[in-house]
Parts: sequence; C-alpha cells; structure tokens
Amino acid sequence: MAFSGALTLTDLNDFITPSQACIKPVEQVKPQEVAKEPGGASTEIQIDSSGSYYEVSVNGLPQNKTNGIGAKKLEQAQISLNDCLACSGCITSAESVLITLQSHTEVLNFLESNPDVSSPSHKVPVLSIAPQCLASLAASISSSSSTPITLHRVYCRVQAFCSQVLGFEHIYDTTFARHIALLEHAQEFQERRAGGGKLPMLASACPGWICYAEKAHAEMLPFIARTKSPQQIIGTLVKEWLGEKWGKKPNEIYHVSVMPCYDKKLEASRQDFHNEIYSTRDVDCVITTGELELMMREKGWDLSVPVQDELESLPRGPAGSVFPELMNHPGTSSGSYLQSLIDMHTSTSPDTLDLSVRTVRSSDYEEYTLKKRESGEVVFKGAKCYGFRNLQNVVRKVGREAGKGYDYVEVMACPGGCVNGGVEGEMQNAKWGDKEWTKRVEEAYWHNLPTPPASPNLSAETRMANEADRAKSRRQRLFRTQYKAVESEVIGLAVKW
Amino acid sequence: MNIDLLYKIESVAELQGHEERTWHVSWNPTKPLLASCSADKSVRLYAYSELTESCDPKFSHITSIPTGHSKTVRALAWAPSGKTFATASFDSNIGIWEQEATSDYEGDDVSGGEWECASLLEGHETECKSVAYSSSGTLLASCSRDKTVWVWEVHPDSDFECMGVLMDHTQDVKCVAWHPTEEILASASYDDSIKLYIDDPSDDWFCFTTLTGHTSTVWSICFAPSGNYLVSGSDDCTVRIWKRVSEHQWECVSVLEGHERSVYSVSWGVGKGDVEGGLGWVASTGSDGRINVWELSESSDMSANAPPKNKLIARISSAHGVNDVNTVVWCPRPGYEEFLATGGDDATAKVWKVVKA
Amino acid sequence: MPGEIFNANPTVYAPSKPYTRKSHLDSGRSLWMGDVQDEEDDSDIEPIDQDEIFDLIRSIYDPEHPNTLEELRVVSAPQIKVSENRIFVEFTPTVPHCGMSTLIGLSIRVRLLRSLPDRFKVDIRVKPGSHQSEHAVNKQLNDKERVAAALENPTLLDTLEQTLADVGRRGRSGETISLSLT
Repeated sequence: MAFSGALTLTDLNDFITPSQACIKPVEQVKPQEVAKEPGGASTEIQIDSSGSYYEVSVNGLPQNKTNGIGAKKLEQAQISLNDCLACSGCITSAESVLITLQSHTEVLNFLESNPDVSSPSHKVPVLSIAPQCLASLAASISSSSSTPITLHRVYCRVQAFCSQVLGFEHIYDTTFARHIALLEHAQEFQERRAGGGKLPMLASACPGWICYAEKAHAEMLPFIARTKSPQQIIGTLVKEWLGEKWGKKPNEIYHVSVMPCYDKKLEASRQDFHNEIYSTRDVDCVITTGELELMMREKGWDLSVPVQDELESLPRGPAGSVFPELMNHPGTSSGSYLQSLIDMHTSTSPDTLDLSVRTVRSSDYEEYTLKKRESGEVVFKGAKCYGFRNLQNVVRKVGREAGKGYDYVEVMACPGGCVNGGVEGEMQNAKWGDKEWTKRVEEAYWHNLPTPPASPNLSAETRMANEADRAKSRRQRLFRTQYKAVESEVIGLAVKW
Repeated sequence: MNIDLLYKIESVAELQGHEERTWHVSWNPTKPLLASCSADKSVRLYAYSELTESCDPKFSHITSIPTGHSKTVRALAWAPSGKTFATASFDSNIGIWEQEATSDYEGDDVSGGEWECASLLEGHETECKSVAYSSSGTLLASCSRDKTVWVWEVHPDSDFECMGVLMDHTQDVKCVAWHPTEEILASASYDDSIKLYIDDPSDDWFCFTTLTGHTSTVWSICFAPSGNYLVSGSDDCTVRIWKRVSEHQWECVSVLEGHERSVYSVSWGVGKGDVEGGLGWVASTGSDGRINVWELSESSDMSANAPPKNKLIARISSAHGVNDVNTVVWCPRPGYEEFLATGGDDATAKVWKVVKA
Repeated sequence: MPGEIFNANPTVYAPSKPYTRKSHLDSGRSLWMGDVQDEEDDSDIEPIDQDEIFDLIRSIYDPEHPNTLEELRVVSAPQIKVSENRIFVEFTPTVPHCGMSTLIGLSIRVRLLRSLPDRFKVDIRVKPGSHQSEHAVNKQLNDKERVAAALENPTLLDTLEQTLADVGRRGRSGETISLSLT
C-alpha cells in the first residue's frame, strides 16, 4: 500500500496486464456485435511497428471500415477516476490516473481555450495556493546557508506569475479557508463532546488518510471530523460566495488549487464536492507545487527574481484582497488542528491549564495533555500522529479503547506532515521523506510570519455561531462533508491472486 | 531411501490429525512441545517425553486449537519465552496466542489451560505468509502478499505497537526471519530478492541491503546460529549461503544444489557434528519431497568472503510419500540438536533424527 | 459481463473427436480415491497419456466466452507432456495481452488437482512467445501458495466453478451426453 509519496508514476500508455496492480476491469466501448457463424471468420490481433495492437480479420478483409488500413486500432486502457474512488482494490493508486486528469497541462489547455472576457462563455480563472507550497517554493530558491525568503515575497512572485503570465484573474492563499476550517473544527469538537458524535475526533484535512480509512478501516469513519479541508472550503468560498459577489455561476468559474500533495487531487474529485446542478466541481483542477514550478520553468519565469512592489511581509491594515492573507496558525505546519483545540481550551477555561507534551518515539507521534493546574484534572488529551506507521497505531488504539484515550488526534498520512506531502521532494530531485529537505521547508513555513494572535478567537466566534440555528445549518452545508466506506465490488474475473 | 552418506535420517514420529496440508511446524524453544498449522485453519500441539539414553522422545497430541482464522493458517512462531505463539493466516491477520492461566498448579505446564487468542494484529491487506519473533521477544515481524513487512513492538498485556511498515519489496513477501542475537530482520520474496533491515534509533526501520542472486521466488530464509551466515531456499531449486562480510554487508558465498524442484524451506541448526570449525547443520526440503542435510564449517581461508566448507551428510527422499514437503525445522532445545520436524501436503507432521550411518 | 473483453472476437475451431479409449479417469472421482478396491495395487495403474490429460481439460470454458478451451485452441493434446510423475501443460492465450491468462491457467490447474492422483506434480505454462507477461503468468500459476490462497477466495472460486461447469463432457457435445445417459 503506498501513499502518494511512495508512488511511482507508471506509464499508463499500456494495456492492462496481470502484473499491474489495478484490479478494475477496464470499460471499453464495445464494437458492434457481428453475428458470427460457428467456426466462421474471425480476427487476429496484430502488432504494428509502434507497438499498437490491431484487430484484423484472418482472411485479410478489414473487420470494419473505420480507417483506411483495414484494421481497427484497439483502444488503450483508460481508467476513470471514479473507478478508482469506487474500488477498494488498492489504496491510492488513483494518483496515477489523476496525473493525467488533473495536470498542469490540463490547466494550460484550459487557459488557452478560455474565450475572451467579452465572450459569454468566458470562465473566470481563479487560483488558490496552500501555504505549504509557498514554503516549499521559498526553500527551493533559498540556498541552504541563507535564511529562506519570506512566504509573503514568494506569494507576491507567484501572484505575479499567475496573473501576468498565465492570466489568472484572482489569486488567493488558502490560509483564510484554513481559518474557517479551524473554527468549524472546534465547533464540531464541542458538538461531539456535548454528545453529538464520537470521540476521539480525528482530523479530516488529509485526503490520504480519508481515502485509506474509507477503503480499509470503515470503523474509523464515525470518528473522523466532518469538517471540510481548507482546499474544499476555499472551493466553496470561491464558487459560492465570491461567485455570487461577482455575479458568476459556479460553472462560470475555473478554480485551480496548488497543493503540497497528490491526494488533494483525489479529494477535489469526490462526489461530495461536485455541484450537480451546474455540473462543476468546487475545485476544478488540483496541481502540485512541482507542477507549478514546472509551469514556471516552461514559461521561463525565475522565482528567485523579486517582482515589483514585493513586500517583505504583509502590509498592516486593509489589504487588496477580499480575504485576509497568509494568516498564521501556530501549531504544526500541517494545519495546526490540534493546537487550535488546545488554544480553545486554554482560552475558554476558567481554570489555569498546563500543557504537557510527550514524544512517543519520534516527533511524528506526540501526545498533548491539558491539566488543570490546581486539581491536576485532565481536561483534554490529544495527539499528533503522522505517517502510515503511526496511523496504524491510532487505528488500533481508537478501535480498542474508543472514548477512553484521546479526545482528538491530528492524523496525517505523510511522515513529517504536509511539508513532506509527497510532491515536495520531487522539486529537488530529493527522495520523498528526505529529512533535510522537510526541515528546510518547515523553516521556510514559519519564517517571518506575523506573530500577532492570528489564531482564531474561537470562543467569541463559536458562541456567535450557536445563536442562530439557521446559520448553523448553513455552515454545515457549506463547511462539512461526509464519508462512506468503500465496499469491495470486485468481480470474479478481475480478482488479483 | 537413504543414500550412502555419513549420516542417515530416521523417522521418530508421524503425527496425523490435520485435515488438509500442513504448512508449517514450530518447536517450542523452552518446553517439550511441537506445534503445527494447516490449511484446515487449526493449530495442533504435541507434547513429547524427554529424550533418554535408551529412548527417543514419544509424541502425543495434546490439543487442537481451531484458531478462528477464516482461512489457512500459513505459519506459526513461538516467542522465545515459549509462553506465546503467533499465527499468520491467509485471512490477512496475525493472531497472538496465550495460555489461559491455571491457578491451582504449576507442575506440568505443557498441558495447562486453554489457548486463547490474546490479540489480533490487523493491517495487512492480503494473505500473511510468515511471522517471527526477535531473539529478545520484544519485536514481532510479519509479511504478506501485499508486499509489505511489518515490525511490531510487543508491549505488556498483549498490546502491540506498529514500529514500521517496510514497503521495499516489489512482490509478495514469503518469509521473515530474525538474526539470533541482534535486531536484524530479513525478508524473502516472490521478487527473487532477500532484504535485510535494521532500526535507525533516531528514525524508522529501513532496508540496509538487498541480496540478489536467486533467479526465482525465495521461499525461505534462516540465520545461522552464529549469526554470521544466512541460508535461503528458492524456487530456482537452489539453496544459497550468504555471509556477513562486514557489519552491514552480506554476500552470497555458496550455492548448494541437490533439489529437483522448488525449495520451500530451509533451517540452520546447531547440529551434532564433530568437524573442526563447525557452523552447524543446514536442512532443506521442498516440492521434490526430499530432505537434505548439509554440514557447514569455516573455511581455512580467512578472507572475509571465503565460502564455508559444505558437505551433504544426509538425505532422505519421499519424506512425505509422493507429496511436497512444506517446512523443515531443527529443534532449538539443547540436547535435541539432531531432531527435525517437517510438515507436508499429506497433512501430516513428522519428526526425524539425524544419526551416524 | 461487465468490464473489458480482452478478445472480443476469438477464433472458434471445431472440436476434435472425443477421446474413445476407455479411461480409468472417467469420473471426477478416479480409482485412486479408493472406489475400486481391487485396482489399488500399483501394478494395475495404467500409465496416463497426454490424450487423457487433454480429455480432462478440453471442456473447460474460457472465462469470457461460451467456448471451451479446445474450441479456442487454447489447449491441445500435443501441448501436453506426461512423464512418470510429472505432467506439463502448455496453453496458448488467444491474444498476447489476454488478462484472463492467469485465470485460464488456474482453471486448468484446479481441474487437474481435482482429477489426478496426488503423485503427479503439475507444471503449467503459457506457450513461449504467446503472452506479453509470459514470465509473470507462469510464475504465478506455479506458485502453490498463491494457488492455495486463490482457492480460498470465494469470488474467484465462483468464477472458476463456472469455467469448470461442464468439464465432464470431455469434448462431447451436450446431445451426445444426453444420448449416452438414456
């Protein structure tokens, strides 16, 4: 079982053979059935010099007249993304399919064919980029000795590239969406603690983990937070909220996100994030940091060169964007989900709380305990748990002692979390899991971000949210999602053994 | 059917009772007990009387454990304490078995209470093929057709923590084995390779070397009692000896021929040889139904990669009649160095001893 | 049938004549199962020849067509070799990318496993050069552990049973069978 990081991009221009991992029988447009006499004429498969397979009739007559050479080229295997999502055959081999469906080429093709603004069929191109990607880009243009350039500078340069060169009309970072995700997360945690669901609550932002749980550990699904990930929240914000502001329908906007992880492509493709009415997705196409860098290279853009009006950090006061930009959430570079819950407890508790942290074997597994200083009573116990191995232990622990151990676990499928999101390494030709590289991205991520209390003031805002039920149901519709176990529906002919 | 060699292989016991093929047998390291597992999903335990000058051990069936595994029990391994054993099943789970405490008596602990499943280790996606405890008993390794090797830490109260999921093999992993003294893990695979792993104290388990040479599936591996050699058996019909030429470097130094079909199992025991520089006895068996026993001894050549001397000292054909022999294991208990157990497609387990011809 | 048909229009050949020699393997339960007491003596066991083996597997159905392996020329008598305790069966996939090859091979193996006495070791291979994953298919078909595990998979077993539904015909048509029964 391989998460995205371990994935090798295999060439899909191949016929499915028994040695390949995919168990999904491939749909093919069936040729029209020709009534066949027993023992009558039939066909053979021939291979031409390019290695393509042709079906020809044995007596030399063309099987049909669809092309001039009297032979019909057999179709190559095509696996649709939905096949992968609906199949429990492998864990995340879906990425290899996604590479072709959601790629930077796809983005360039769209931009090229997008009609002019004056045309009614023009779509508004919007790009959202995750802060981990900015950190990764910052690390890649800073030599190992110097301090990384700030995220804000990188963001300015990415904005310049995407608007001036690619023609994106709006560019955002996903930290405001994360801010909302953290608020919603905290809200959901309180609902669960009040009896509205199971504890421990498990983080929901990592699509690799969600995919694995749906396919291999359905018993974990009730524990997973139903709060959308920042990517899907920005998707909702762009297509519903901004779209309304702009007077655009969801299908009149083309939304690209830049993410540190291949599995985000999978997440964007989920049925839950598809708008049936307008037949469009909240995020139309996901590209990785590496793909963004590739586009820059292809267009001859040098990210290490400063752009005009580039600032070291955010200007104070009203910014040009509709959203607050590059909001800092202290905690982890994987989204600070655990930390935001800890902050919620410390800021709302009438008692003084002490936090103790225990590292279990490595920094990828840490336990956080909040105790009342006076009585020593434990009010919250959480853990951050990264990587497949630790994830197994979470699954075991939660399965065995549901409700007794942790209140919350920040689960991420990649060791090191999102700064090592499987695609970051490819930028430096470094092996995925390269500790040095991950460390540099981590440094860049935290370097020179504004220190003021950007962490959401949960108490006030959550209280407000509770006041109106109508608002609550709207929030739930906009900011929550659902999971379902993927049942194996493998047919006998396709069983791998 | 013995051929003319220094030693001969004599039958000691023939243990019937499984309803389908016997896949694996395992000697308890501390007590006079032998366990076997089968495609019939059960584990059978046999006790034996201690060896005396005049009398070979007598084996008697003491219990059958229906395991609850929903498919074949492919392999079984005793913990070094002899109090716990683990089962690897085609149902993709690893079972951990402990004997129910019997309050009233201490004496004959080979019978004792019922064997119960104390823990079930889930995580593999497909059939588990092998399971092994480290020499200290603190680690457990398992492997599967899902191409992974898992390392588990054994905690008190039958709790286990996953310490590593090793995804280095490109195919089905057939066998895992631990070094006799150090925390070195070896795995053998359908991808024709053997991989060795160690723990990086600041990080995770990782594969530090890959041994290639076999030209087909490597079915079985076993470290030598000295820890400086490793033996492997393969579908290419050969048995190979790998030598530790430096701390983290292992090289193939000998290829032993003597099988006509797949070699399914190898075992390296201390042996009862009297040869100078003795390294013990290697037993091998497989689809040809034959058991071969080689005596290994250090070469006079002191260079690091000098092959050990090897000599075929005993052989028996048709050990389980016309059937494949799936496993061969030397008894690890002191005083029983010449005893072997085998399991075959005829659903039996057999016990043999290797004696001077 | 959902999914891809690897070879949508295979060549179908007329079957050869049914094998007429009185076979001692005439039922699924052969004499080695102990149903004929006085033939248990080794000396009474007639050697098995390639035609008899062919007879056992000729009426296996292709997993994706209503034709038998014989009709599709996937198996043939000359592709079978029999020595004392060894049987070697070669088969020819209808197309070189046939994804059903492992399943066809498995059907052949299961059929022989069920009809032959234990003493036979069976090796099954695809015809050299007839399949793009020849080595992989051969390796899998001859891995007893993989085969054993496959037979514990209920979905796969169902499919196998379908291919083996009429193996008892041994090349005879349905009508001949009903005639011989009356």
